[in-house]
Amino acid sequence: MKVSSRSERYFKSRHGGLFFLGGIGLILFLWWMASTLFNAPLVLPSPWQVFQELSNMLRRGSVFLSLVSTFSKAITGLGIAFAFGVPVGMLSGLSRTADELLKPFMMVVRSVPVVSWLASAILLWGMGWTAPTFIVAVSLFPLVCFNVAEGVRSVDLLLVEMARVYQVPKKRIMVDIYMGSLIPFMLSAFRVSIGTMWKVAIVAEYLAGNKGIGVELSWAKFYLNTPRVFAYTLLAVLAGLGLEKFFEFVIERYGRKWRISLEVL
Amino acid sequence: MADISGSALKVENLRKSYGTLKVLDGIDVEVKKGERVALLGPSGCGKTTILKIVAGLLRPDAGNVHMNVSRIGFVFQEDRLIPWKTVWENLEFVLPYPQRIERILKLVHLWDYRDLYPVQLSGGMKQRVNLARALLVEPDLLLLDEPFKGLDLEIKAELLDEILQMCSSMKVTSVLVTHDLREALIFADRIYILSQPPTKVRSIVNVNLPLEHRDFCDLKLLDKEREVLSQGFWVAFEPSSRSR
Repeated sequence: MKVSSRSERYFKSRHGGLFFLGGIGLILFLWWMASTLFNAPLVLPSPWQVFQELSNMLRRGSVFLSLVSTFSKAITGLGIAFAFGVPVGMLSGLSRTADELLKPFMMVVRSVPVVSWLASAILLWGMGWTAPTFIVAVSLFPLVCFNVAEGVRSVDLLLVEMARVYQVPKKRIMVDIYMGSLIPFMLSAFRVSIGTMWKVAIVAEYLAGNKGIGVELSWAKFYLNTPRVFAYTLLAVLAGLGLEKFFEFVIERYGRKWRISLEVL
Repeated sequence: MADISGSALKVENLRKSYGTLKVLDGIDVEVKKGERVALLGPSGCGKTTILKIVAGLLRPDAGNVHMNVSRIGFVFQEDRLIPWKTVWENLEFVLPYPQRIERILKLVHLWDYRDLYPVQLSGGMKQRVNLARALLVEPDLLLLDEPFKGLDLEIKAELLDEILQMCSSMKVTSVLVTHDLREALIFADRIYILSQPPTKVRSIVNVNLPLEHRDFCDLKLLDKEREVLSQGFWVAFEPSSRSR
């Protein structure tokens, strides 16, 4: 019974993979059809033109510097969001008063459009590395904060009571019970942030950067080089997906403890 | 300060209400050193409240708790194990003494399961870890809050026997809270029978049974159970207004 169900899963997964590849083929086919029908490479270049442009870009090598530049901004912004979001979220989760006090601030941070932040950031720091990094941080901060606060609120108070009975030091209660409860929520925030940070970083670079994928996209648009716009977009999508898959792999590997113990992830 | 020489725990005139609901209405309990006592009463009569007050987790409205102990072990009704920690780590969280943890795990037959997470354990095994954690601190007073609730009769009998053997051999003063008369008879030297809320101690039963007769199916134990029941034990489980 076990063997048959395993082989069934294997069969299914092989078929799943085939369907996935079929899906990609379908997109390429539809794209090719549309570009042929439109016959306007300035609006919709063919897949062939885009792949040719992408291959040229990759051969030149400077594209990798742009990728690194965007990645560094995205990851720094994510780090800043976690550095501020975790303590603020913990405070908000632990104290109702703090939560009420922070609520208006969080609402403002959450509701202000990215372009408004961008306007202030450009005035403050000019075009460069800082403004896009700040935008990534400010976009991810509420997400991290909310998840951490939810994590703190979900702490099992019976465990805290148990620790009190055995006179476990407060520091250990914080680390082993509170932080332990937080980990799945932080991993979830991290997972969502990975996808978001990449997109936000590119948008912010497009409007306020001096290097990176976003800036290259902006130049390509400026020179009406549509195949290059598409090539950079494709590159951004592939890099974003790669990044997500990489962190998923890391979480899968090192988050095993939480997956087993809480049947999450 | 009350004289409690010879006693490990003395509870005097304990009163506690939750809002308008009067739960404890003057409870007096005394537990001598090395003695095993059971608090037996219907659900909701405040048995767990008494244990929580003794453990310092709740404040009574009135009354005193005198203790002649330095370390308390608490076997909770729910296992209260940290889900993301293994059996070993759960014990280490309470007291990071590896040698003592090893000894206790072997004592409760959990040594081979030390690297498993709570979710991978059965209900009985989880309660064993709960017990191991309580014994790890080498308690002068062991509080057991319905530790067999929800367990199969077979596992319950096995665990109860283990706890009994450990408590009697280590001479640990212990208080078991239960609503099961037979559990109380197997475990305790003395049983405090509590009434419905507002709860009072209705009677105290001395169980003079040697260890070898403390078994679920032992005839002497069953005789003792019949004797207690014939003394109007059931009255304790009726609402106080009717029994008065």
